[in-house]
Amino acid sequence: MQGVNVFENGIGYLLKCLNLYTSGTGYFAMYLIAVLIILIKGSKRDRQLFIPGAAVLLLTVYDPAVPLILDRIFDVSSEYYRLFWIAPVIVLVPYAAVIIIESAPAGRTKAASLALILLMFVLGGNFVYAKGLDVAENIYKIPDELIETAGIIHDDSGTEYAKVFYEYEYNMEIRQYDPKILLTIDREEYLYAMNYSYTEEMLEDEDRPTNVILAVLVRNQKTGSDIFTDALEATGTQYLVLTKGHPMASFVKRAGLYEIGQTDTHVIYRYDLKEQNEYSLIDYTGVEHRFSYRRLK
Amino acid sequence: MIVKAALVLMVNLIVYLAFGSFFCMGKKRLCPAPVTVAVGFFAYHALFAIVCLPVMFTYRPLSTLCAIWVVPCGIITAASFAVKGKYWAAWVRAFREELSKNTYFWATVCLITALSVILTVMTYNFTLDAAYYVANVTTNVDTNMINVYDPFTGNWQDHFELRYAFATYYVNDAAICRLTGLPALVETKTVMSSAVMIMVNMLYVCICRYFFPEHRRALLMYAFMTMINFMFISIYTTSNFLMTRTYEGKSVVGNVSVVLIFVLYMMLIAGASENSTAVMLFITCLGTAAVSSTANMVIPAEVCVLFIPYAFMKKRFALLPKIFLCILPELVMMLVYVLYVKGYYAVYTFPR
Repeated sequence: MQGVNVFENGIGYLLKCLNLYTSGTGYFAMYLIAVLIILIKGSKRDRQLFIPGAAVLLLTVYDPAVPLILDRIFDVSSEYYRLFWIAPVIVLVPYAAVIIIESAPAGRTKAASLALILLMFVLGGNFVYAKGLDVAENIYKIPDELIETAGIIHDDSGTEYAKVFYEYEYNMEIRQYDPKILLTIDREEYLYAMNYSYTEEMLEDEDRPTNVILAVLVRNQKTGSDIFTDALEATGTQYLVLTKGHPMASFVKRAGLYEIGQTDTHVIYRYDLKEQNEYSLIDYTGVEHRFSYRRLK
Repeated sequence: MIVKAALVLMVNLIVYLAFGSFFCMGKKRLCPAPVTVAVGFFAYHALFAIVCLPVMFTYRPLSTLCAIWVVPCGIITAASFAVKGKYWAAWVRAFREELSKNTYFWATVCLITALSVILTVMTYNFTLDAAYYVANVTTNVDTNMINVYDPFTGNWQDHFELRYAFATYYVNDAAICRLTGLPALVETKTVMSSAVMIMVNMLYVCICRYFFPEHRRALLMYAFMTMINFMFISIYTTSNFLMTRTYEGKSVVGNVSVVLIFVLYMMLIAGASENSTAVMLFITCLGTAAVSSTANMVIPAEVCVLFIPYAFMKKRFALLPKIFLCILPELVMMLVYVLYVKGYYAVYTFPR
């Protein structure tokens, strides 16, 4: 889970994990209430269905010691919350709600219990479209402008594949739509750049030319034009797609890149590589089709 | 393209029904349609993984996988139609009768399901994970290879990323794209999202009818279930995965597998045969392992939480080895994964 790990939190990990999981909703409180309702009002079949599982969950998944034990075998910090999925909240809470409503005497009491349950759902919940319904712009469910940028690049490049630097959101989305666009920066590198600056030592690391590109275009760190273009050369990056008004736009132009097109909110820059290495796929024809592995330890 | 996507969705559901019919329909057992379709979904993905993995690990192209896969898939669907068709017809007749008696109930169910499908299909959601999963589909289709190029960047990978390689759910998406010409984003975020949402809602209705044979109460429970999915959102809940990341394998594990296993447990409590339940459970577990590596932790835990107490309470100890057999695929996959991440071995994408 984001920012919560077993090593740092120890026995307190489970509680933090649960807090993040529910994020202020009454999700688990309602599950516990529903278990109580089944214990009090449920039939023998209901108790057989829900109670043993709830008891075992309480003694295992919800035992603060269990993540500590599991973490010794493999890192469970980021995935332990998925064990919470086992609790049949989606079945038990609605079932208990109907039991409550149906056991209330007809008339106003029944209507009041229905209203109360609806109120619990509304006040104790967090609506999926609370921030508004963001309707996709097209059937591909990616921004129209992103599609437009890919078209501009392909029209300009004249090659099958083009290597591009996109900013964060577009960087994560473009290859879902267009696999002919190759990316300079992978996901983890980008996420790092969003959180940390680059030291001189990192910028001088010749094995990681992407550090320079990220330092300039994500962290807005200053560096020499030639260092920047060397990084573009080393990574084979031919295009940059930057938002209009990007703080490093003038630096990029000074470094020798030029604009080849723009959309409503983005500008596409081209860099003429000194050595044009056209990308091609690995040739598997005539390869021996046998399983190949290596024991590393 | 929307018509083509709708057709692919319909064919998918029919194929799942055909696969599931072999495990859920017979003279002595006739499972509800939602269970048959869901079990069929996992049978389909389990068989797909069995066909896919040898093709992938010997660097054969996606087109070869497609050519191989359509044969068993077609034969099983046709055989199911021939052998189990009479049960399908009986179902349709029974459902038609049910529909005429409870039109209001089914109309509302269809309306809620359709609304859920439309909302998930038409909304825009940015997630980092799609950068891998969906790009993996486009990359496989574009390169006509299976998992040998890095979806994030397009660069060739020296070895398979085994965290994802055994979850062949996305390779199936790539195969469907190659066979039908559908773009990856439409296949994943429209076709498979709709398929998952429909299966989940079918299972919900099945659960509601189990608890309340009387339609009015069943409908109220179903409405509450839907409401929970709309209302209880944090970035970690199954509801969030269902509503915003429906196309992901994790969403299938959290919303289809976990619920289906609970339904199988319900059926066992209600008196279903232990053997047929164990077979359906095994198929579900095996298929889930092919859908997402998340299954390797969640599914064994759920099966143990539900079925081991049952075996002890009912003194049905013969069930224990069957339970172990059901979770064995996940346990093996977990071991394979742990050894990989701890750096014990690597599987190359080119012969050495």
